[in-house]
Amino acid sequence: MSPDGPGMILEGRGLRRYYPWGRTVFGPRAWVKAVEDVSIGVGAGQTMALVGESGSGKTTTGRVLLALERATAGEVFFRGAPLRRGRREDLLRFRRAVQPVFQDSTASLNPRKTVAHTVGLGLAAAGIAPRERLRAAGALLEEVGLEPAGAFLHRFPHQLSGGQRQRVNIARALATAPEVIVADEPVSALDLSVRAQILLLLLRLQRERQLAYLFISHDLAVVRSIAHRVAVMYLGRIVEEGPAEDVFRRPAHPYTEALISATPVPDPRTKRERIILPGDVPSPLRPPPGCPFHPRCPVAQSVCATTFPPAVDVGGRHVAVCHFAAERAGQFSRLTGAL
Amino acid sequence: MNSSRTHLLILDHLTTRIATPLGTVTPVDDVSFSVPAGGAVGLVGESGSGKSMTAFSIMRLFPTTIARVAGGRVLFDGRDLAPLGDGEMRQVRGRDIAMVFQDPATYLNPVLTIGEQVAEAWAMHYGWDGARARAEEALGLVGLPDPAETARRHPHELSGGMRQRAVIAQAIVCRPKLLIADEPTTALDVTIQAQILDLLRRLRAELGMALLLITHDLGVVAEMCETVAVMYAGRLVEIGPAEQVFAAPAHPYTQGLLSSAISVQQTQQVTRAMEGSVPDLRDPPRGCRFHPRCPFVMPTCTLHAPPMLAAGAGQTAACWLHDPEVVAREKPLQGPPAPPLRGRPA
Repeated sequence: MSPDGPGMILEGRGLRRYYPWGRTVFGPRAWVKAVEDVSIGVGAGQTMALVGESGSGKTTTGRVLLALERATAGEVFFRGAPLRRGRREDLLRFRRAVQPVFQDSTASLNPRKTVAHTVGLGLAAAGIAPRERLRAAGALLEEVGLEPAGAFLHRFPHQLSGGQRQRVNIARALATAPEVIVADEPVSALDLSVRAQILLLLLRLQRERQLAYLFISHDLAVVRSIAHRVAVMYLGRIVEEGPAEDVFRRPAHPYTEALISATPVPDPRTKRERIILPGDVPSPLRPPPGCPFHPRCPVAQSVCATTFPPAVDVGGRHVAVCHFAAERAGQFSRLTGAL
Repeated sequence: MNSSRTHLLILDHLTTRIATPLGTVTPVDDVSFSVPAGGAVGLVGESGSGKSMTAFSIMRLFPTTIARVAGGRVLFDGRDLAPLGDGEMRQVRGRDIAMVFQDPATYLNPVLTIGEQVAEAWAMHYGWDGARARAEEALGLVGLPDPAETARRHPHELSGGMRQRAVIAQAIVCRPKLLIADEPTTALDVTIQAQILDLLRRLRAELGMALLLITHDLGVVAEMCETVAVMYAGRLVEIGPAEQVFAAPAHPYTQGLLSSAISVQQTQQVTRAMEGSVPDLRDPPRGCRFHPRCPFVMPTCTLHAPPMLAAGAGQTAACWLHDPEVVAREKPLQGPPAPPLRGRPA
């Protein structure tokens, strides 16, 4: 282990992604800072979860790491080397190694193509010979639990259930034998029992193929069940990052603590003191000065309104961007600590 | 259930049928349960379980040309709503029973101000006199800052959470005795969801309003409701006090659902998932509709639909495993003999 932890397979350093807003002849009136100075790494064979509410920039970060979007600033590294988009060969190798799975299983599939065709495209990209592709596609379908494969190969997306479609999307992603899968809310649109099936599948694939996941989700319960490390985003920035267990047991950032506390627990005997944050997430067009979270923060002090907080390592590669992270880490969290 | 409290709403063998081009479906099949005055009942189930259609059947919010309440009674405050005409139903909606839906943006008119829309909900029943004042009062009650100012705004000027508050203001302006909330927080972020759940809890206490909460989120039910009713493929499969149902689910489907539920409070990987998915309602399985997925299936289950049977402390479940005669007579079709249905499966 290096000081940076196990070998990072996919990494973003200092990523920024700004979108122009309000076009005038003098250029945009303002910039929406969707991603602001985000550094994140996915360890080989590990699951890094990226959590946050809508508009936090988690999806944009995922898209930049997939090289689907160009970063306004910052760089994407694959196996420690910067991704050079200009070199077609490099980009293609990157795309084979880093594959996406999205939330909307229907929109991700071409409605006019069969499952075999969709998975076959990935196999073609991986250089599998045409006559091998049908057999290989069948093997992939069985690997993701669509058995017997023969019953699914020639179906169209509308002939599948939501869970089966998501399995096809996963099979398609596996077709290029990737090392990393960037999964953006892969189970959010699924019913509870199907969600459990897909989570089990993702865990098994990780074990069998040593896959690394960047798992983007708003659902903290799902994240806790699958992630090794967690990064929490708020208004385009990572506010806390660390080993999953540590982050859930001792959240060092008040936003993380509030998110955990706001997540309903499926057990009526649980009696908790809830932290209910006031107001809404501010517009990324005009982020508040100082700490972007301070207008909603239950423990904000005057310094928070003026000074951007430092990244504080509270121990064990667990970092929180908060003026009071060290103090908070000292006192065992009163709400989530009593586990 | 507890009969000492008055039941505000009683669904008595409610059945709703929809004529589709591919045949008639029965999304609500012989469903009976009740909501006590001031109580909170959670109706849970996966997509296609019929939980929303149950709510629509109470409110009769469906095109009556293709859908109809085909059987049973909807007793509200002692009066059967099922035979009422459309005009009479319109008087009940909003005044006695109000409903809040998932997507607040869809249920607000983009060209009218918030104040006009909330006032209209009052004026429908009581006329425009004083409607504006009522609207502002309701907007204040749901925690919108500066109600007079918010009343002048249009929906697009509000955030998602504020829009949901405005929709709730519209629902409570007539002080209904029952609020039906269909996935009221599903489209919202978790911190906003917490605000809205807190608001619903407060409104229940302040207005003495009963709540029928329809959701797929077991966590939301656990936090909000005293009673849980579980639906599967158009039928009620289990009902009971929330603490009982969550601690010792009596129906194999509820057990499967709870074992798929994960909590943010514990490190617990999903280790087991129910196989299969919800059946097609156009051609539901014979007998118990859960039998093709049930780990404890017995021969009877494939032939006869189980009635609601008493299953421990205040619970009832539609499962033959709670009929001692059947259990004594039959052998499970697969695996080891059915274990006693106690405790939460690992």
